[in-house]
Amino acid sequence: MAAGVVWVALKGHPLGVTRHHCSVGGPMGMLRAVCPHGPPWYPRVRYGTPWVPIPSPHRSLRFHPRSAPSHSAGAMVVLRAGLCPGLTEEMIQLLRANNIRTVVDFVSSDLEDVAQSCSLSYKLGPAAGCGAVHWGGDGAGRSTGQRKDTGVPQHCGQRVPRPQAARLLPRLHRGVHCLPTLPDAPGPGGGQGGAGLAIMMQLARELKTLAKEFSVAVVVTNQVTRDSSTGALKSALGRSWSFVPSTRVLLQGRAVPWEDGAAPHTACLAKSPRQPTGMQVQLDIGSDAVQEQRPVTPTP
Amino acid sequence: MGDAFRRAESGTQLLARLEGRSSLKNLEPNLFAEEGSPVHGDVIEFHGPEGTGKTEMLYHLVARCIIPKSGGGLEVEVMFIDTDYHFDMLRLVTILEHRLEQSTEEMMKRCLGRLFLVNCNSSTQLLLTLYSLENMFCTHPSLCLLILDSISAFYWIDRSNGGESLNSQEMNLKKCANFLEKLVREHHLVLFATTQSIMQKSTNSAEGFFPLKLQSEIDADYRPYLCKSWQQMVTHRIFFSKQFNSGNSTGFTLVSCHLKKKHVAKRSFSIAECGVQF
Repeated sequence: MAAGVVWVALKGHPLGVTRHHCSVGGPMGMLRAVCPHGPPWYPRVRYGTPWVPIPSPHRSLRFHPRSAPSHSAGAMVVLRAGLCPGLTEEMIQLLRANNIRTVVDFVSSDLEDVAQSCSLSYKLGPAAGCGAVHWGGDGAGRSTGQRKDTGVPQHCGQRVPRPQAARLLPRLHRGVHCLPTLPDAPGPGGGQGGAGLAIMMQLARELKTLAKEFSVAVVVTNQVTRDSSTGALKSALGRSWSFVPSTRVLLQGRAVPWEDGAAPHTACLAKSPRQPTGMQVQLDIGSDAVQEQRPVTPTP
Repeated sequence: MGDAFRRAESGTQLLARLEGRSSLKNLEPNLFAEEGSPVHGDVIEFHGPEGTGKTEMLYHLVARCIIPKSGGGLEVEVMFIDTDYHFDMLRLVTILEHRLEQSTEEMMKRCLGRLFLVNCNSSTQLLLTLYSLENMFCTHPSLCLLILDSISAFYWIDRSNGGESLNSQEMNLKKCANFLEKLVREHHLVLFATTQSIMQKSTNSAEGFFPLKLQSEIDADYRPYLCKSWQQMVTHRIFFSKQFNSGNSTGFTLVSCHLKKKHVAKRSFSIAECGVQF
């Protein structure tokens, strides 16, 4: 681990996020915001709703992998009476007799065959299927919304704050949420087939959901290592993690901390969804605050 | 009920089938080794490490599709399924602003009205979403392009949830792949999907995958890891990588392979504020 060098991944904000703070109000608010960095990175015009999300965002992600749903029966919603109107106990038994146990089985079966073999009313079949799809939309059986008729799928359900996220951020205010250094995630461990990686990817998903749903920037810190073959610097936690951050800033410090006049701290933009990479700024880390110096000409 | 109900299709399905989907032949010729691609039914996989321009290329394709014919686009609708919260609307809007001559609010709204965006957070949700989207393809005959960014996002989570057997670990993705194939075939779509290079190339992989004379040119760090159902339905695979010229931080390379005909082409591109440029 190189001394004093750390990767910081930023989500959705340009360099120097601690000093700049775009006012946002949800996903559409981002389009309306005028970033204090000014043009040309953000549009100045307000646009209407361009898309129809189908279906509502999931609610199934667990924060603690131990409580993650076990495979098969747990991971898929099992059909039960009352899941949607028309799905009675009798119907459940009939469906089970035809090997249809879960929402996925129901939706993936040929409705005409099901209608014939289970004597299910053909009108009820597709409607119940659609209802089941929207009820079971997150794969974990929690109600995500109201039943809609088949047709153009609409956004169903309201945005309910997720209990895990609410626990993490008890008082939510706009801005930046910083997390301490990510724990060392075990690599694809032996016979478990990547349980450690799965935990890390679940964490990544949780963080992204937080960022998107609560319109906050999520900042994580990470170590940096050298690539064994090319010798180039790369972020730790491996390939799978490297896809997670949308913005990446490389912080580099003085080689010798006590020597004045040596190379100052710099922050370099290594990855960004909207800006060209390579821009660098000098940072002056004083006793009270980090101050941004004038930008440094990026080195090729 | 009787045989009359077998294979019934609704009026809208019939109309959609007869009317046909617009041709996407001029979508982006630089992405393909042979002319006249893509055709309906093609499944194109973008593969590469992070930061190599896969998502940017998707924005480029979306912009090409949703811009009206008067602006040089194809004026077709696009369905974008985002599985890892990667989609950046601001970036797409910036690209559109640069490509449209008159980027008025009205024009923007009309363009964006041709884009349908879906977020999925688990492979089960992806599967259920695909089932519920089938109706959309029937009712929107101009919906020709289906984009899935990325199809490998749930790989580790599915492996961990699937217990010991590889079959149950892959079950969800296999069902998704099978249903995607059915959607693409029945509704005459073109599917673009991205996969991430999360595995290191093993020493004996990629043998017989590329014609020998080109193998030295292709430095693809490719090791197939998704289920067989997906591998078998892909018709074109495009490998993305960064160029390592000094001083060129925006240079990228793509290598496009037609899997059946074994045609290969290599192209360079850069990413500017207006998007991908060849």
